[in-house]
Amino acid sequence: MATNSTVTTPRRAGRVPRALRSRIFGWLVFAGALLAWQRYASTHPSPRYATVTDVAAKWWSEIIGGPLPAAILQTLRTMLIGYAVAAVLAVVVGVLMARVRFVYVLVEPPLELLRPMPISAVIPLLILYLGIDDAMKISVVALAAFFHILLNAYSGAGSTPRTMMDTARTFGLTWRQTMTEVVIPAAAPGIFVGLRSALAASLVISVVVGMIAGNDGLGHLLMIQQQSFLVTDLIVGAVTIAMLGYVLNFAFLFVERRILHWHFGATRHQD
Amino acid sequence: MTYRGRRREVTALRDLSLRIGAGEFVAVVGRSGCGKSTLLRLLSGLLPASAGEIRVAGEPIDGPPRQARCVFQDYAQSLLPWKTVAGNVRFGLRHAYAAPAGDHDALVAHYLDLVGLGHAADRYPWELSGGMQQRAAIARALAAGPRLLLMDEAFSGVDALSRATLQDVILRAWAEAGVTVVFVTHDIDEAVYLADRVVVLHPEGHGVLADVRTDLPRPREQVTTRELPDFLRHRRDLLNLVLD
Repeated sequence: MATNSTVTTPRRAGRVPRALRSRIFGWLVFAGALLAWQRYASTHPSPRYATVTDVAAKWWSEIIGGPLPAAILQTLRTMLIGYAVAAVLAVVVGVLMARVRFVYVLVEPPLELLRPMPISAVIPLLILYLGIDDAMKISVVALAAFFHILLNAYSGAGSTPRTMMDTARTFGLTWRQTMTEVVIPAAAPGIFVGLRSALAASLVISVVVGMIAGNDGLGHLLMIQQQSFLVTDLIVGAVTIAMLGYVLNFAFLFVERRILHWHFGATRHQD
Repeated sequence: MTYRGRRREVTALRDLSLRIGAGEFVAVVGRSGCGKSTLLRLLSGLLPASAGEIRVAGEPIDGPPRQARCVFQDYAQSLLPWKTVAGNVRFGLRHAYAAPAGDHDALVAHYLDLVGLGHAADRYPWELSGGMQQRAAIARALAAGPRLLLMDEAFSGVDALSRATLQDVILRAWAEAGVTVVFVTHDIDEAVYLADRVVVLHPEGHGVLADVRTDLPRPREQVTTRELPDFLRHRRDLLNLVLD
């Protein structure tokens, strides 16, 4: 299984040559595209293009002495705090919605009305109330991540197998023990699906909110560079964000495999 | 006993009166739809009775009785898949009726040995065969130190040979733990082989059709017990009753 992806490898071995079935093939095509870009950009000098080597050199210099590390840290900080707040709130609210009728009837209608609202539409309003600093940015990220996790926690906690609930009852578990020892672990695979899509959404929103608020972070940096027509710097920024996403996803899968090893084992077992 | 079905009221059981003594091994048999599983859900407190009264140890029950534990037919959804076999047994110890004395690790090992799973302590339920999973569920139930063990078609989901192993496991556990067992099954042979007393429910849930003391000699043995003249006689009489 691929280490950094949950996309399953197609197993059917048709009449495709061996070289085309290896993952190395994809990397070769990618390297070829980089080469073509490099050739095109160096044979067509223009301020609109930057060569691959220029981008790499610029990236390195920005990392060791430029504004990039501070911007990355600022964006990551906003993102991770917002994400963590959302994760805790969404799991608690989702589980309560699934298991306590009163909570469900209380929060379901407003949540259902708020859910389809694009988060970008709320940012101006939140700026008005909270300003352009951390409080606003963290709230925006948390709001964006919240629904991804909530829906999965709700459906996961609502579908504990009946026999498992009967087991909890006959073993005399209190309501609280039933939640922590049975319902939440059983919902964990679903919760992790939500946590993962929320992670991607949080990164996007933490960059975008920096662009709109315009005071710090990667988004702000990109806007300044765009206004100054710094093409190389803009590519550096985009590549940096992509790398950030890759690393975050990798770390997420690492943690997920440790916590949900039983789930992956059980589902693999059914194949 | 009447309960509300999706569309109408269904009377699953009525005019049923049964008294089970401490330490008995009672099998409940009957055709599908006779209400034997309903009876077990009532005893386990998972289904409230619409009329009548159920007493466990002299006290009317209102919810699952503290001294009872269940072994369900659907072992795969009863065991906690995120815990190892030992972890599941430890769950039983943590949520015990009579907190067993002694070190938890030693108790876990003891109950696993009792059901013949000493070698599988660190494996996960989904790594085991159905019969082994059900043995793990039995170990978990016994670890809670119950006075009453309720088993609902507990061995129906496994193959014939695993079933024979499970039958001997539960007999050994019953002899050791001195627990009362109510065992619901649709298999007459299994009922006669395991129990001292077989209760036949009326096909439409109208009370008890027959209540037979079998009292075959113990310990039971898969081959010789099933060849005893008394085994065959009870088997024939009960089959005639159920099939009528």
